[in-house]
Amino acid sequence: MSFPLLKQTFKANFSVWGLTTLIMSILLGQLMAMKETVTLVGPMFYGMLAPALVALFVVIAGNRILAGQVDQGSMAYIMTAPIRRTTVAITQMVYMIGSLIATYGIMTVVAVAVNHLVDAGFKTAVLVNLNFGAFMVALAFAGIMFAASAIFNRTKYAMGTGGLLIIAFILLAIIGSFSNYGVKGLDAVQNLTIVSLFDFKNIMLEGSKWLPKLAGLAGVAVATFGIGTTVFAKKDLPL
Amino acid sequence: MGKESLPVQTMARAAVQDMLVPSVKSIKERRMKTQAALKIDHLTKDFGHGRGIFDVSFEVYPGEVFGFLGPNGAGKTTTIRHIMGFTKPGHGSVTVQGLDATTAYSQVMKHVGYLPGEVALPESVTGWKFIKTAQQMRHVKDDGYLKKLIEMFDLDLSVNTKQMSLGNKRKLAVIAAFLADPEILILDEPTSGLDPAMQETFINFMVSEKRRGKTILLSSHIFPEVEATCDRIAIIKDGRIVSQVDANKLQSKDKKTFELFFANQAALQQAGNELGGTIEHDHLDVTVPNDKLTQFFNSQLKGRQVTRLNEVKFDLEKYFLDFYRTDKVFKTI
Repeated sequence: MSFPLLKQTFKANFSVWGLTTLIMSILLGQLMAMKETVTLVGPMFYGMLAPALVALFVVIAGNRILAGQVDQGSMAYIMTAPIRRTTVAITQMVYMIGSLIATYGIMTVVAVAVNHLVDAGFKTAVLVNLNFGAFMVALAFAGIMFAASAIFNRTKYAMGTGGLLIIAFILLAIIGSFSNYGVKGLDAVQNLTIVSLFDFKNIMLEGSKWLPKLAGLAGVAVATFGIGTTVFAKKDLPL
Repeated sequence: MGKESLPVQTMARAAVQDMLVPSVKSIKERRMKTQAALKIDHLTKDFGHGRGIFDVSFEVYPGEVFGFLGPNGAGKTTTIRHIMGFTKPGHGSVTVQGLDATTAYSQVMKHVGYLPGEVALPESVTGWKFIKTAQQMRHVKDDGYLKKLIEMFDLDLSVNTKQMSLGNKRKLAVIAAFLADPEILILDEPTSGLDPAMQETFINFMVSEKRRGKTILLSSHIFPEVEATCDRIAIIKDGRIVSQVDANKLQSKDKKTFELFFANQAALQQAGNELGGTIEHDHLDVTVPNDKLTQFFNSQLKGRQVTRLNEVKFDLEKYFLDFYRTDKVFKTI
């Protein structure tokens, strides 16, 4: 890991990270605080808004940390330092994972605090688990975007593969969610998106099925971050 | 037939052949003891459709300035990417200070400073921040050389990179690339797109670094900067090295060549018979060793109806362009 690089990446992406985290926290707090909307916290926030909003940060920052700098050429100034490419990739990966931990850490604090303040009726463990599940979705997204960003030298290709796949997963999750409102035929759509591996309904029912499902998301993250790091270390860079 | 009688271009070629055939050996012998700072060994990278570099080999010795000439797309940057370890060779190898540039690239970077052909600085940072990060990433603790560079290039570092002119961006890139004071400088077309004053600043920088004993690989197609700095020159065309020459030999400092114009054809013929040299349409080309110049002017030209006299200076540009125009002749070299 390279601390100067981590610092540079942190600063370069601070605004997009900060904005995403702020919007997500405000929305969550708002939905929990109002009696009329508290039922929407599960299906609307954790089922759609959280994955969609965090995807903004994941796609923008994920694209920027590798492919963006290779495409623009400024990666040359990183690669001409005595630093291994694996170290560069791992540093950027640490940044992505670290930022997401921070985002969902903040959201957990917000959720628990609002729950305590307005007595929204959630158990603390449920809120922690919901945020953990949402974090795993974001982590899998980050892995996908990281791999795309590491494989391609052009942002348009990184966006066109990783970014598009993430958006597709979110759209499928939204379409699939209509099956909850009686459109039974859309049940199968749930199987087409990794977002459904985050079983927020089961978490809210305090069931036990949700945890093994998250392992699927962990698997996606491990594979994509691994592939990204390996490819980035081996490929030819047009710098 | 003496060399004096050969036309200039043939002479230059002869000089190249002279240099390539007998003296390459002696140079090699002389350099056997010193390890090459940069060694490109049968480097091949085929991108398909005839693009790429093919069997490129050359060595750059410590303290040497090596000119790497070629038109756009000839393979200069591709070769440099191999030196920097950005690209893996198809065949062959690149060694920098005895280290394999492809596998030990992070070690190689401790010895090398690279100025990319296209200046692409990160956006929205000030010059200072950019320099600080570069310094930290290279683990540079000593500010001395950095201060010298900033002074030499006279750059305002408080400005955001977005607002900098091309010249200032390039200056900043140079400072960032060389603040660790590396032994080997790789410069990819450092002055292209810069105004003449800025070009001069860069040439002065290269000359001063050369004096400090740096090894420099200068990729360029700007002849004055190559002429001003380079000890040896390799010319690359369509991915292949077509010529490697000693810059000092090319400039043939020990003799001069003149074009002599005469009042009439008879005088031209007569001079041709008596002075040697070659008659070219309306003038006579004569090459005179420096120590015979006085004699040449005082006695040999006396009484001849010379109307005009031009000194033919060796022109790297002309020599270089020949490689692109007269394909057939040079394929045999």
